[in-house]
Amino acid sequence: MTGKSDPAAAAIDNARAFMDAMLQSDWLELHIATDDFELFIAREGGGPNPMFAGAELDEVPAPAAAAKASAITAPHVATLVWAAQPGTNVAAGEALARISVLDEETDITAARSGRVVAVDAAPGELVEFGMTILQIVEAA
Amino acid sequence: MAIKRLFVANRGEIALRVVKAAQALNIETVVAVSDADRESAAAKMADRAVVLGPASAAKSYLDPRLVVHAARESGCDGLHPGYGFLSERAILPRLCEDHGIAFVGPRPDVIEALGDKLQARAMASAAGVPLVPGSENIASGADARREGDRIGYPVLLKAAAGGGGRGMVIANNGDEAEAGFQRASAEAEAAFGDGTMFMERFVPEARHVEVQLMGDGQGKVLHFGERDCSVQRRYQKLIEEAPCAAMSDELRAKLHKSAIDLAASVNYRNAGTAEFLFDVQRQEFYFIEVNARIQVEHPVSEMISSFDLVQEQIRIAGGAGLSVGQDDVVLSGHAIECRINAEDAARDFAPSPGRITRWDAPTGEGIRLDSHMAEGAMIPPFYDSMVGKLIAHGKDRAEAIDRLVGAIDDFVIEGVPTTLGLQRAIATHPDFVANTIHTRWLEQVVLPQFGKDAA
Repeated sequence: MTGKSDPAAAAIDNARAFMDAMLQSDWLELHIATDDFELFIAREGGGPNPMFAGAELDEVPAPAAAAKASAITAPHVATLVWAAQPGTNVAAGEALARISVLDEETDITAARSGRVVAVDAAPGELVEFGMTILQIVEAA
Repeated sequence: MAIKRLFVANRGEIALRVVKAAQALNIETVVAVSDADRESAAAKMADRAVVLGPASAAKSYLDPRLVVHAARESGCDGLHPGYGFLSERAILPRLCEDHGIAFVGPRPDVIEALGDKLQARAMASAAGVPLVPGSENIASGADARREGDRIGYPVLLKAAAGGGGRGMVIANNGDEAEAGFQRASAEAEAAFGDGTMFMERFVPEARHVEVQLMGDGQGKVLHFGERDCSVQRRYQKLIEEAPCAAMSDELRAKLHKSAIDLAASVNYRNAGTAEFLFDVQRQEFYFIEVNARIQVEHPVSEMISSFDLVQEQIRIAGGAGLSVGQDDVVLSGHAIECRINAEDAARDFAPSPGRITRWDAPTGEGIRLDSHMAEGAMIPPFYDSMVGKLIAHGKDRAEAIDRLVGAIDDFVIEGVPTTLGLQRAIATHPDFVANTIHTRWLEQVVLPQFGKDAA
């Protein structure tokens, strides 16, 4: 069990939790800054985004289209039923893996078409939230 | 069958408390954590931690299927729900039953019945437990006067179809009851299309008392004395003590008997608390509700009884029955607990999560601290802001207060604002020392002044 949390997914979960907190409050604005994470949310009447203060909004160059593997992680604790084998090509929407919670199974599907390059968990294994199940390289 | 590996379905201080209790019984532990609690003290101390889901409680601690799946697949044969989260949701013990896991708590049907206020009241009434004196539906001003005279003033007139305080009137005598009925009934008719009213005795200065219970599920129930939790802010308890020093021994015996009768009538299993409103002037108590779980404030009962209630819970869930009889429960001295929250008193007690930069905890005779915090620990913003419970025990109430105030003074927490200052103001207040407080005392007397004296 060596899976590590995907930082992007963690950031999205954090952002969602802060948004929930914002919606339940009467705050006008919320600004959170940590070492690797900064978030600003405002309602009508909230202040300007401090992240833009004094910044020049340059054109951001598109990231180099290198074939970088991305991790498909467990969305919550579950038992892995099966995962696509390395080398499998999948189309967007196709199942990459199947997980089960109390014997109820759900599929994890590919957001984009690509090729499975590695599988990090074995069928029957308890995968925890954030653990990498497999890695995929997007189709060019 | 004794539990061999216990799943802890909670976080914070209670998760750590349960892990310690299990370890004292030589039981292995698996702690459920969210992504935000991977580094928690309970996770570090347990044999294993399983990450259920993201920080959001709805997708981790509050998802019963994820909890039971993680318990089953990590080989646990018992599950402790702690307090809050899923602890009083019948679905959790049901899923545990379906998957061969012993639930450390009451049976699901009992949780359900006690969770329904009307059913709980009916059960209390059937067991001979006193309820707040009240009326059936009232249809006229003359009825209101007659019922008010019978119940005793002051009374609270409430709209049968009402809610949210609309159509509610306090009446101090027969004339007010008649006039109040006309006004409140018309208001209810306009607001809800139904002018039917009913009446309850109003206790302006009530105390909150509760009895700690433990049942074997076969009809045998023990009590571990009562607690007084009258220091409240917005119905949240801030300070709890045991015993209730404002109650006579005679009434105390009646209170304990009522609580046991109610729990025994449903063959109550495991730890529970029967809560009552205590009318000090009349020296009467009325049933409020039963909390079907271990409570935050259980340590004060442990301090005066010398029993470990969480260990007792785990033993009972493992089928061992009660380890003692009522005569073995000997209560001595007085204990007071204060809840320390990371809240900013200057901003209306807004939760203030963050990192603890300094944590210097008090020690000493009669002092106990139940906390999952330490220097460098993080209080995540996703859950409640309690950082610990400070408990002081003494031979009597005065000594317990002295020790508590001394411990508060020795306690250094830096990095986040806490309620220690407020707790000190309460514990040293003449009304608290004289024990003349009630459930609205903190809001009416202390808070309006708090923070202004020093200015």
